[in-house]
Amino acid sequence: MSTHEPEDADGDWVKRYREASDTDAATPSSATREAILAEGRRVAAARAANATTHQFDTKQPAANQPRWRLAAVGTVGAAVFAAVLMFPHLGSPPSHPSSAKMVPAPAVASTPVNEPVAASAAADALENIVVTGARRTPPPPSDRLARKARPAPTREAAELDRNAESAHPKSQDATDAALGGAQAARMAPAAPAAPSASAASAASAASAFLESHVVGGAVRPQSALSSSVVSGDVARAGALLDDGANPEQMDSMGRTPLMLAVIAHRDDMVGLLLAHHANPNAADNSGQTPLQRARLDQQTNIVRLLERVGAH
Amino acid sequence: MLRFGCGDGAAFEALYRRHEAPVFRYLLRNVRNEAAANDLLQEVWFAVARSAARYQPTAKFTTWLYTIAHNKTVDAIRASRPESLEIAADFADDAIIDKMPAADARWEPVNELEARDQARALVRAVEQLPPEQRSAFLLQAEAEMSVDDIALATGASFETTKSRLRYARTKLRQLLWEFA
Repeated sequence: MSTHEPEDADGDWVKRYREASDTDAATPSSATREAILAEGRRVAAARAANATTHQFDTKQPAANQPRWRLAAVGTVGAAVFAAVLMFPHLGSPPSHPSSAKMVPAPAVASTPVNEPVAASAAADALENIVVTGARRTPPPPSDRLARKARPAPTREAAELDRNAESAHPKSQDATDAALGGAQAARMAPAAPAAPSASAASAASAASAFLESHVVGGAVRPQSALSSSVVSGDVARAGALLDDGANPEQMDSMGRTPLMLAVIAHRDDMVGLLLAHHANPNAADNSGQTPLQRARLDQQTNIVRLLERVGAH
Repeated sequence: MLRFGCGDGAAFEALYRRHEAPVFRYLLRNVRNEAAANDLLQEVWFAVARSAARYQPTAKFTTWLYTIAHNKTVDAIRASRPESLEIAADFADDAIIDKMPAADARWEPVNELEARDQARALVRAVEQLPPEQRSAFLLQAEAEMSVDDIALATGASFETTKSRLRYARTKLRQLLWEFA
């Protein structure tokens, strides 16, 4: 028997089946038929009743009743009353209680007059720069005026600023911030509390540091090589190393670019630095070596690279 | 159907009367058990009645109706034990085929017997088709559905449906040859 069959055979089989089927007296039982028709009548009646209910629901208020006018007048009145209550507060300058809390500046004899203004300005600057890791909107005009009113620093003050900047944990925070912008940003408001010549100069230093290092919620590291390492710019890091950048340059926490690359999980950068003879065993101030850090972070590729050059 | 959705009970009755026999035969050929076919018919039309409010005339009513019938059939076959259906099928076949009158009263008794045998054989052959082929063939033969509509009702592609119909014809020819 051939499995190939002309298409018109389709109609032939259907016709033959219909002929057989037409003579078939198979019908559903009368009980089934009655049950189905009864269900149909029940559903139809329910639908008809539902439609009637929707058309003439006397429980709902008529659409042309004027009750809505009363509600509208009440709403407008409440809005006007709220506006009247709020109006006197619109023209008053905003207060900054949070700024005073943020900078508990100790009194310094050299700048007794300017300190509150400067501390407040610095705190405002800090608050404006870093609160949630993102740059905030510019301070209100009143704060800008206060900042302009601050007198120009004297030579002594400038010297104190320089000292404060050098004593301030600028570089310590820089790399941390570079590796985690939001985390560093949260840490940053604590900076002015560090010991310094004056609260104003410390805040100024912190402000200057943050201004120079915080961009768009991310924090720039302190050196070009570190910047390249953390941002993963292998080409730039390679160029800097080729130009003689020091691969052993540590930050204030004793972390080399290699350590930063390990912390940033940049195995390509680790390879580059090792190729430029970076010391694989340079421990940071806590005594942790790059290999230990890589194992801690379970960076198997980096562990393998470091072990290959004899790191321990 | 839209009239029924608005609460017209007579519309439902007219709809049911029009489709009662082919839908019942479709179910009967698939489950091969008269009681099961009655139950399924009731389920199908109950579903039709209760879905009237949600019915949207996006497709032909026939396609929608047989989609429900097909799904109910598949569920019933999956839920039931096939062997019990097979046992009942023998009795159902005989009962149905015995009720069939001769196609032409002028035929001689021998021809009449031959015609009845052929009808019996064809019905039995259709019932022995694989489920997908049987369903596709019955939708074409009973519901007069096109290949597109069959594909829509069974959830298969056009090409798959076409293949099922082709395999069904081949299988019918083979089965009838075996019966002969």
